[in-house]
Amino acid sequence: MQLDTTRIAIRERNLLDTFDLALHVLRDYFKPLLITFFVAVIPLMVINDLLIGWMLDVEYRDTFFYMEEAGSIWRFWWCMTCLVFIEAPLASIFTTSFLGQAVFVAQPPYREVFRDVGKMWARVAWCQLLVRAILPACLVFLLVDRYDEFNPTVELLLLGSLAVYAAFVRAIRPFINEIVLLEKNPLRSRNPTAITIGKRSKDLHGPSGGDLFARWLATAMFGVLLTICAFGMFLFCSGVFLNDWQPGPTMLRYLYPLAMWVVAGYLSVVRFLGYLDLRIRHEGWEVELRLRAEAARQAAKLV
Amino acid sequence: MVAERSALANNLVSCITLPTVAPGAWMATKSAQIDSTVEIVTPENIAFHYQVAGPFRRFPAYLLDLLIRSGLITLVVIVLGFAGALTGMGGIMTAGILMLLFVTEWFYGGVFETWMNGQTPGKWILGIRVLSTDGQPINGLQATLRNILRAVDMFPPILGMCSIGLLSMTLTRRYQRLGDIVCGTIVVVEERKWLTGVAKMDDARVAQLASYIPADYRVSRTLAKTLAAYVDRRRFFSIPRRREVARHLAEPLLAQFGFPLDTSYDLLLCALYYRTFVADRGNEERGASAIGTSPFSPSAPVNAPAETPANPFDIIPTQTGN
Repeated sequence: MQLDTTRIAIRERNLLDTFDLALHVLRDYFKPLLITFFVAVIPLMVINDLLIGWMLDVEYRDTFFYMEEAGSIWRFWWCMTCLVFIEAPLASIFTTSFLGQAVFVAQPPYREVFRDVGKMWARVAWCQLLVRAILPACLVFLLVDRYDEFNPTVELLLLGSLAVYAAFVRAIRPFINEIVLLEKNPLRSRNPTAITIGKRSKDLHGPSGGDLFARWLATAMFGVLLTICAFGMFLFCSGVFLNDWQPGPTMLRYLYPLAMWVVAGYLSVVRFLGYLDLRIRHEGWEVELRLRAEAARQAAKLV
Repeated sequence: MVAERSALANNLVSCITLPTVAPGAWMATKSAQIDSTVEIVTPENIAFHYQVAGPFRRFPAYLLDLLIRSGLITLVVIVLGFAGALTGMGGIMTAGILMLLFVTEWFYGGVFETWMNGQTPGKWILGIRVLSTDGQPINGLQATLRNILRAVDMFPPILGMCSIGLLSMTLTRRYQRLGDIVCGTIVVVEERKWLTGVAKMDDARVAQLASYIPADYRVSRTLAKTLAAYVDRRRFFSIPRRREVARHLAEPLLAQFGFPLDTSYDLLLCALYYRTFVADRGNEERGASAIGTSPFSPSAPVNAPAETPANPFDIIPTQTGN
């Protein structure tokens, strides 16, 4: 592995360039990204469906906007949006690990990607499931009685608060997956000089908090637009191929989350490229790679 | 003709700035790398590197154009509405408004891109330009057709907006939507990069330490590029970070040169840079006389002029010499 011969060109980019480059990455690594992303997404889709799929099990009439059912539809829409939003970083763990290797290796083996993530499961569980509120968000639905009326305290206030909390944490500390999975810092250490995940996160994110927040806002805006686009495309295809122009419960139950997951997958690539960019801008990572590669060449010469 | 000359001039500028247009060029082979930079070889067999603008880079330009178009239409509608009410020729004014809507919807982009050499006002503000795939300026037909075909790229309408165009841009290496593929055009970013010359090293210890480097030590091409990259970026690093970054290469070099191991890593790389790029250029370009602090003093930061520019408003290129 030659550190200065990267598969993805390493240089400073602005956010829009990062979004554009992510399309190239997506195209070049379509199959591995699809596999690594959906390995994590499919269990989450099943869990989400088990948690809130029952909300749509009501007699459904002709139209999406039919008043009696509209309540349950909007209820499902809100809960599913919050769940996918909160769970999205967890879904990208394999993708992040894959991309980290793909920068330097042309075709990273899947086994190594999954093994790498497996080694870090405790740190991922702590950082994502607990600190980033994924587990609490799932547990919220245990407080809801099935087939009961909408519970505003739990579903709106509690779930909404968790989503806002997750958004806030992710806006100011977006690259936790990269720190855990790629830099492999320890969660805790008795050695005061050791760089733990917390310290590293503070060092990396701290100096550019405002910039990261602005980027997060722009990313969120594009995310919403892309989700509308993707879902609209599904609706259009359903209309053309099935002659069904009304978004029925099946479509909402399966295709709406799918549209969100597809966008989440794309945004995870954007986030990874943003991480590289932050390291370049703040740490001169590209220079460090070149120096390390040159040091290796010098050592080889001496040998 | 004027437009062609202007495009040629732009191409020449791009040609001049070629080495810095794609700073990623040092990494791997271009074709093997995932990047938004493409190489265009003109019929004259001159290669240019352009950064291609993707859908997200183009989106703000499109929004700006939409805003300008909407503003223009609103203004004309108000004026013609008043004129129609005052003169009693409401029907003619309505027809005029409808014609204006038609013309701006279908020909706004085409007219501006023909007139402004591949740019609309939105593209001009955002610094992007439409070119033919062979690097030549676009003609009127290309400009008009690619804008008319935007309707296809924005299909399906309303909710699934732009999905066809987005899909097309994702699948093509040059981010071409269907209109671009049909007309043989691409959209490129017009970025002017500053060429930075050789960095000045005002710290006397740099020259002094450089003189201790064995005379028979030959700096390879890759090492020279690496040193140049380090010296170019080091002014943005904190002192501990410089030490951290420079350590990778400095440690084996210290051992190789037989220097004390507590020599400043940063100083060593600067000295090697100085020896490679400055020392051979003659005495007048050398730094101040090498009298004073020992260059082997541990972890001493190099006082390059970048940290203390005479004029606080100086931009970076003025901080380096030629």
